[in-house]
Amino acid sequence: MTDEATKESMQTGETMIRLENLSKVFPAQDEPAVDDLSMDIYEGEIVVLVGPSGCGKTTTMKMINRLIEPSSGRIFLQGEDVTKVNSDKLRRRIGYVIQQIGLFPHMTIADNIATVPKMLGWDKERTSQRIDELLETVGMDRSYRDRYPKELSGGQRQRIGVARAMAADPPVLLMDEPFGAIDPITRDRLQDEFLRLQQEIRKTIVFVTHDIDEAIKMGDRIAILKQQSKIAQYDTPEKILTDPADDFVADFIGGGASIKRLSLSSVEDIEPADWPVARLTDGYEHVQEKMRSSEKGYVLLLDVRDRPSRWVGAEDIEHEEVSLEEAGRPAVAIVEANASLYNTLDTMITSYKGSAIVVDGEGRYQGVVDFDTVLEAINAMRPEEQTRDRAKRDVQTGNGGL
Amino acid sequence: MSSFLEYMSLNWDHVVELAIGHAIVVAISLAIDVVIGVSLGVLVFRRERAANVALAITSTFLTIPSFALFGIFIPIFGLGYPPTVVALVMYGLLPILRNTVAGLRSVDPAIAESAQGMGMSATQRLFRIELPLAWPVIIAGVRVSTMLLMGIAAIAAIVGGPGLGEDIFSGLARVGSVTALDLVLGGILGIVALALIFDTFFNVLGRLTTSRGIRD
Amino acid sequence: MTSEAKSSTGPQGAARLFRYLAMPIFLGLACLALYLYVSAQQLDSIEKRILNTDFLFSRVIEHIQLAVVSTVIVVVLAVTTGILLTRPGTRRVTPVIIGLANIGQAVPSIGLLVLFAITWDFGFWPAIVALVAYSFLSILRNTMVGLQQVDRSTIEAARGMGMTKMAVLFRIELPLAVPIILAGIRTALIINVGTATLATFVDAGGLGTVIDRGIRLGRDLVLVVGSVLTGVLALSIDWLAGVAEDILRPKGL
Repeated sequence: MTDEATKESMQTGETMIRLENLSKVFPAQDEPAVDDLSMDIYEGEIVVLVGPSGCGKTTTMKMINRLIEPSSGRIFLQGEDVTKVNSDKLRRRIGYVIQQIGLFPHMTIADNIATVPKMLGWDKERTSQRIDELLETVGMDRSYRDRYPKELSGGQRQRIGVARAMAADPPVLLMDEPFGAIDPITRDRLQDEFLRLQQEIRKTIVFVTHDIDEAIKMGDRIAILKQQSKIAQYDTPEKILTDPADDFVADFIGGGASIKRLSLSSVEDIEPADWPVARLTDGYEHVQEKMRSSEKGYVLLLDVRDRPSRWVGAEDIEHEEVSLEEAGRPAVAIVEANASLYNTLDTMITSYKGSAIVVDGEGRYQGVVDFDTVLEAINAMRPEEQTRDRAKRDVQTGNGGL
Repeated sequence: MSSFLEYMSLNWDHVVELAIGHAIVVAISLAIDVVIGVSLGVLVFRRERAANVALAITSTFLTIPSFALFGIFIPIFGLGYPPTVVALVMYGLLPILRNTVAGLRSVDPAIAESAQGMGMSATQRLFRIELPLAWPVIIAGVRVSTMLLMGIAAIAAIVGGPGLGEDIFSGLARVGSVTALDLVLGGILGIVALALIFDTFFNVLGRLTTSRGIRD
Repeated sequence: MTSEAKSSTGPQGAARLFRYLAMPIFLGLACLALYLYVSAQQLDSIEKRILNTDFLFSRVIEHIQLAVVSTVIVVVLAVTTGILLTRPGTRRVTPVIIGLANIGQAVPSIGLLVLFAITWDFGFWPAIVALVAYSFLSILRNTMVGLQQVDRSTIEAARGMGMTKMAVLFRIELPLAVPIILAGIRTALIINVGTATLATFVDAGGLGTVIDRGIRLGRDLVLVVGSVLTGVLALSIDWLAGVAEDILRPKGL
């Protein structure tokens, strides 16, 4: 998901892809796989197509680059009707990444990446530069140019797959469960890196997945598809989570929808609590002073670089038995400012006093959040619900509508 | 044994001459087989029924005894090179066709799909992706055909064709004389030696032309 | 018939039947055409001596004898050797055998026939030895590859249940290898029918005699009859072997 400012500019951006009444009927089947689908995809956003197996999400995506030809309907790319143009040429303008990646095993990494540029007639110099650029963008060393796919791990291959898709700098990327075949740890990391990458490159991306959590994490807008690719809801993740359109969507999100919402907000959205803080170098008297003047009963000690070091309670500093560096217990429940509320809660649950220390990119102390502050923030997130409940109550008690 | 070695040293030129003739006729037939076999394989590998028909027909060629095939070509093509080459081409076709089809079909569908998704036309896919990936299997088929043709080409002598078969039949004709066995042995060993040379050649050629990325 | 063939109702069954019958129909037509053609010709005395039922029939019988006897011998030898060479102790030999067999295909069959004729004798039995020698390596290789393919985990399960090595061999490996052996028999038959065509050169008879005489005497008609009959015989035996293979293949494989 992208930050608020960019989201706003996206809404008013150009329509990059328009699907108009797309349908696909396969010869052997009675029911259409995709039935009269229309949707707009704006420039620079990540739209995730998600739905149960067999709902036609992959078929829909493959109609955009016409790997599957629509039975009826039209496709517009950057305003141009591409329903009938030469499909090979069309695909060279669209990046395509699939789950099994499909790197060409008999070509080096460099040759793999150079495939579309070569077809478009780029000269060697330009292509070579582009390869280096892309390798750097996906976080791989230039030495990988001359290696072969069989020498790479799954995660590395997937990165090259993405690099290859972006080689000719297409405005649109189609991705079909691109992280599906990777182990969960690497997948998490790749998703994060990809989102960071998207901040830079701002491509229009159509992303297919069956995993609602991935959809929530990756999508600027999510299209939840029913059988035959009928749109159940096409909206931002927040709106889908807070306001599911019908039972189907609610079921699809599954239990824990509210908790999932917490992964959409980050801890820097919360006002941290007022917590007594002192330095390791301050000496016992200062710390004891702080302790007395606050109600919290615990003081957080920072090191010389302002990084959280230790928690000390009243008992720990009463008798001045040991140096401050060894008093109390080490501070371990630490989260970065951009961590999601979900992860923050997770950290807090296992922490000593149900609190998490927020630090910035360099590890410097920003504030402390505890269960109280998080609860306050969650409550504040529910204004729509409260408005709805209030409206319902008003209707029931006969108060005039708002 | 010693008489055989003596025979060889005396008749080296002759044996080598025949060997070259043998090698040439096999090479020509192989070349034609590769052209026909690979082209046919490319045409039919996606269509199951067409492939089955092609494979059934070429396998029938192999079932027909070579002598009969050589024989029946005499009234049609005459003697010498023509019936020999036609018969050899028919015999060598199946292994190459079969391996071309198998090799092309064994290309991972994900690779073919990603190639298509990137905008490669069918021809580009064939030449840049599918054939290079199927190549090791195709070369294996060529090696099998080579061995087959080496042995069968010996029969060409009956129809006046070139090759070491001539010595085998000469030996047959001179049964009882001292040179009979030498001639036959010379013929057999000459063919085996040629076979080894050709096989090594294709082995090396295969390694050189197979991308490092897919070599085991 | 196997249970598959029993379900010959409807279009699927008809298609299968057609595939089975296509070859015999084709061969029957070829023979008929040949017969009609020959009957319409004026045969000279040489041709008459060759192109009569007795002579041709005797050659066919000779040919079949050569093929069948050599096949029986080579299958017994090759399968036994194949079994012996795929035991845990001897398994390492397999790649060597495969390599030898590949080169061995280049040894000319005519060469072996003549070799044995010169060093031993002309006639039926030396020809048989040559035929066996020629096809041995191929059948051996096929048998060994086939036995190797018997799923390791099946054998492991069997040993795990307490079966002795012999029991595993006879109750698991061999039954599973039957299709391979059947294919091997079929291959041997085809190879040997082909090689037997050359048996005429070492006085062992067979249809090759007809072809050879046709060439040597310059009688194209004789040549054509010999070639066509040989081809028909080979394809017929192949068809029969194929049908037998389908019938005898154990269910479930």
